[in-house]
Amino acid sequence: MRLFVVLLFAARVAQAQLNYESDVKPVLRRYCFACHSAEEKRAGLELESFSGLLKGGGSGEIVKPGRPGSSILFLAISHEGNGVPNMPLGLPKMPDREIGIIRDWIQQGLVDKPGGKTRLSDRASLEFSGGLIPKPKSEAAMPRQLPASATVDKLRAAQPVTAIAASPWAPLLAVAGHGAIALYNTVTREKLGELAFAEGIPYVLRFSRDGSTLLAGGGKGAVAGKAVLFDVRSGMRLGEFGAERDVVLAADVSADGKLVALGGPGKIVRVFAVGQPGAKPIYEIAKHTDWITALEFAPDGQRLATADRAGGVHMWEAATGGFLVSLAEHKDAITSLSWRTDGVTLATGSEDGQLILWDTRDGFPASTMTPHQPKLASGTFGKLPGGVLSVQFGPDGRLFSTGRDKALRVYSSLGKVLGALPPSLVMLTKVAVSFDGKIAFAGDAKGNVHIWDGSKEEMLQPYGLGAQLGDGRNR
Amino acid sequence: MKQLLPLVFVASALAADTAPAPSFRRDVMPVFFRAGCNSGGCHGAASGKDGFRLSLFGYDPAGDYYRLTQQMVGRRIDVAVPEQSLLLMKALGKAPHSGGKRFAADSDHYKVLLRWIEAGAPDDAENVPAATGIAIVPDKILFQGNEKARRVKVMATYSDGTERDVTRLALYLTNNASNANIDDQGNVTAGSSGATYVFARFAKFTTGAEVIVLPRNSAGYKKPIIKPVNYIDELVGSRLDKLRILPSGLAGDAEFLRRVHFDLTGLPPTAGEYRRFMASTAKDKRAKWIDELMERDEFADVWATKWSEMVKVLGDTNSGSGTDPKAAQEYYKWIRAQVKRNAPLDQFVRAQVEGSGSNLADAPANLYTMLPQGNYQAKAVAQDVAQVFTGVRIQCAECHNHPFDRWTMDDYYGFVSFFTGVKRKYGSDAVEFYIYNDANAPPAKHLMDGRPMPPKFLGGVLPDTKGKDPRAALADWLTSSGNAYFRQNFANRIWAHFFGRGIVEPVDDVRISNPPSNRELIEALGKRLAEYKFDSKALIRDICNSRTYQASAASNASNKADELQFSHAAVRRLRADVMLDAISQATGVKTTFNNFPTGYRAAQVFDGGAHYNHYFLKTFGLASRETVNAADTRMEPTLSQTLHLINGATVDEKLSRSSLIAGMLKKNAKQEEIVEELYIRTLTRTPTASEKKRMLALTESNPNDRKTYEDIFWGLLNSTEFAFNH
Repeated sequence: MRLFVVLLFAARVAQAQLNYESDVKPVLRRYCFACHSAEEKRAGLELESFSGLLKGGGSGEIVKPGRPGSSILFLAISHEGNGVPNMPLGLPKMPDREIGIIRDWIQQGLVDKPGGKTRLSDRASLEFSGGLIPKPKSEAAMPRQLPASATVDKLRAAQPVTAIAASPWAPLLAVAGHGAIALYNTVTREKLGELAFAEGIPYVLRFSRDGSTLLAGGGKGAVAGKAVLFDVRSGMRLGEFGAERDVVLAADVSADGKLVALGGPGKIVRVFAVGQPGAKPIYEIAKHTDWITALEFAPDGQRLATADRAGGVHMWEAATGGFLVSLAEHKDAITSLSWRTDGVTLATGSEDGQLILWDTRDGFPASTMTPHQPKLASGTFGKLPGGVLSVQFGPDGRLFSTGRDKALRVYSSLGKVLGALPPSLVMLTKVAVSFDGKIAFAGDAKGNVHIWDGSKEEMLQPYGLGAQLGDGRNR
Repeated sequence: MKQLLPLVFVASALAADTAPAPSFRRDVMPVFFRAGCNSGGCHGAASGKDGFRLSLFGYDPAGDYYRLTQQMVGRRIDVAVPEQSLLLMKALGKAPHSGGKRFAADSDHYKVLLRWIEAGAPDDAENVPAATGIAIVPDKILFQGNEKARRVKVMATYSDGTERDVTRLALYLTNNASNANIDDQGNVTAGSSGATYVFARFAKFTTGAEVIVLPRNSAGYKKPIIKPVNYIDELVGSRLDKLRILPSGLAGDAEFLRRVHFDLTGLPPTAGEYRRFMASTAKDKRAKWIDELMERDEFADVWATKWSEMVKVLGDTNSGSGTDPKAAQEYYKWIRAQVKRNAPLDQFVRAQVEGSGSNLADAPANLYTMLPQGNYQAKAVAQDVAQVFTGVRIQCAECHNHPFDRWTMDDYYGFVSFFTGVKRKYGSDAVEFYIYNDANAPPAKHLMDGRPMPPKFLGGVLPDTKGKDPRAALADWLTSSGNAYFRQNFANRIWAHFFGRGIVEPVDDVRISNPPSNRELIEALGKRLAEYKFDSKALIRDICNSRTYQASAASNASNKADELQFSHAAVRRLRADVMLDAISQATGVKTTFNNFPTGYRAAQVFDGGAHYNHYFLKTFGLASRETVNAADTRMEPTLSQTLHLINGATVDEKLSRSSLIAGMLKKNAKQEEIVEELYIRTLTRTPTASEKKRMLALTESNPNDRKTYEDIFWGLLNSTEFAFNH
């Protein structure tokens, strides 16, 4: 009975609309009024009134509706630095619960009093209205005759799935191996063959928007890396891009198929023109301060989103590399990003645990979730790794993600949770979505691919080496 | 070819591999340690190196396992093609690596890593045995004659009771490479004669072996026949004998007198005291004199200042945290009263550690205003308390296990929890604060996982502090006569006052890798102090009466290189306050300090803050009291000190205001009387025959010219002999 009451209460709190008068002010009164009262007004900041808080202090506004990570107030009390002093000054950090109230209140849009209005702009227009890319007139590309099987490295144990991609128009799945890429027919579940990738391990696989080509980026760690463009039908190499000194971790082909962008530990995004072998990049992006871990051209052909291992996400003009906007909310490595097929929203997944849906028109985080944070067993302490490992939009606007809790989740186009494949035994490293949007494919750390249609699960083993299946319950 | 498998099959197909795989914690992590991968300059740095981080010296095995195998799947560890793992490619130098090649493909280190990856890079089971200690064998090495090298072995014991030779996994270092060196195979080579330690480190343990290198040519050595006065002489003597060092002879009466006056009263003897002592023919005149000096008020001033520096008694006129000058004054007065009544050190410390109440009325509670000097932070206070009262620095263990000592993060946070309940609230007066313990305050949280760490003594047990002020339990443990850290800390600090260096030096950096120069001696002093019920005067009496203390500063051929074994008196620069007071006393011109009545000596000014900006005291290194570090009192001679004495206002002004010479001339004192008086006042001795001859030659032409005597006085005050205690 008692447990029930507690749960009910917890649920109520989670859903409540927080407001300044009843929720935020009591917290500020306890920790902040000693210095930031109307009388003291240290650093020009007064928190005793809602208007004072909105006005901010000597260094400008301290809250941005919906964006705790860009709000000085939250950065200060959560001791996250970025040049913001830790508050309360010289005293211990506020309890997590209180910090959570402030964070959620900012996230919900700075409501002033009970029943007050959120300051988040109207996001109704984020509804999915269909993909921008037209179905190719010709028949969707499927491999016809592939070169002979080409596993160059003899595997002595299962090779983790480091990259996976599904054709946007055909029942075709590509899975990274060790020196090779396996291709499957997703309807028959039949292995169609392999593409050799003597460069090393592919860390990224991307089909072009019309499904006719497959781009593979990868290499040998700390030695060399490049991206290779394959013709899907023939398996022939159409081009090779980049001469990186470490692997390529992120790569994509632009919507019109004319550009290839790539990046990795070199911290520089390089963009090449397709069809000009050996040419220098047409432009480079040097803004990132850490490894490039994810990038993707927008379906509208106009924009390019790039992300790094420090949590930075930036948007650029695809043709020129002109800077558009930074999407600054993540605090740890971005693992993956995906454009919705209408080009309106972008999903980013990060090791900080957050999955954020951005309104790409103004760079506003329309929805923030922490879907993959495992729960701590009672009596244990600390924080388990809860990063989001992979995100992928399907053609119907639905979003799929995998994360460190070993689960696969699916969301509506606006980020509402629709369902989940319960935690697997091993980590689900990468996710892809079938051309019809009906099936999700999740690669795991033991070389298996889990196939999930929302109710039942099946499995492929491109590089799983049957004998090893199921061992090693990752802790 | 269909490769679709039902899930059921996946779960049941468990492979059976019988070959024992290397353990991550037991076998793999020691390789990172030995190869330097997880050292502070490499991947052990807080932010890692070149994008990859390991915990410093491996304090976080679970985190290291995660970062290696899970953080970037497929990159660092490649189980499918193990030898292509980046970890191995980098270590072999086959892939570009800032750290270069760490080991070869045919090395044991490489084979262990490869076998572990081949086995699937498994994590350890929960109950994997952990190292519980290490031993170095042998732990005493003596090099004599032409012997050049010896080999040590390092054995680790594990929680399952097993033992293992880790000589090839340990790291080695020496305390003094000129005496003895050690290579990475455990080979110790002898250098120049002397005593030092070599250390082995493995897992979170450090242990040392003493190495004594005898002089190559000690055939002519014969143990000197010296009658020890007390246990100090016995223990110093046997150490010197072991090292074939001959101690210096006994200091003369004048040499002894000057030294003991400075050490016990912070002042040189007056001319009257000098004459009285020199004239005495009593056999026990030195012992009697020591007793007399210890009863003087100046004795209390010396130690009140020392202890005040130790706990940072420092007033702050703009204080919002209880450190008002009033509080500093009350604290100082209380400390001085304890010294004056010779309060036992255990009680002295207990009163402060347990201190609660008003910073103005309950003076010892000011430990909790003065140590923080601002906002209260339990961690900073815990660090200071450990350093001040046990001599141990635990701060390394805030972020990682101490690399050169036994302290772990568990020790650190457990110790911090004694202070997490200490709170301060405003009193009735604007400058008054109340210190109290909040029994409901939560304990400190472990940095790694936020686990609450209940109060725990350093390296000791968990006391039952439920509902009680944990500081009472801490005071019990700290001041117990069985606590070697506490008793040796105070014995060593007292010893250092009289010899210019501790038996452990610095006195506040006690750790395994900083061993005492004479272990038996520091242990005996500590035990005596406890047996004397922490009567510090009793220990000081032992020290001052020992022949060791009364040895001459003049060295002989065998002990001139010795700075560690107390074979001769150390030549020490006078402390800033002592120097100023000595100049004042010699010239008979008092110094005035802001906010203090005339007549106060530098050694009596209670508040570090009020006179720290005093030019003379600052230049001569008076403690700023901004840290508890013993090194905060700077004792090294500097050029600006010399220049100040030569050109600065202090000596000049005192000489011009001094009526000493004029007064003597007025009384028709003879030339040699005046010169002798100046020598006694500054150097506690009469001029030698040749000095006398030269001085009189100067004054001969105009025996009544005050200027000439002033020049002589100036020269004496600027002499090295004056500026040093010897």
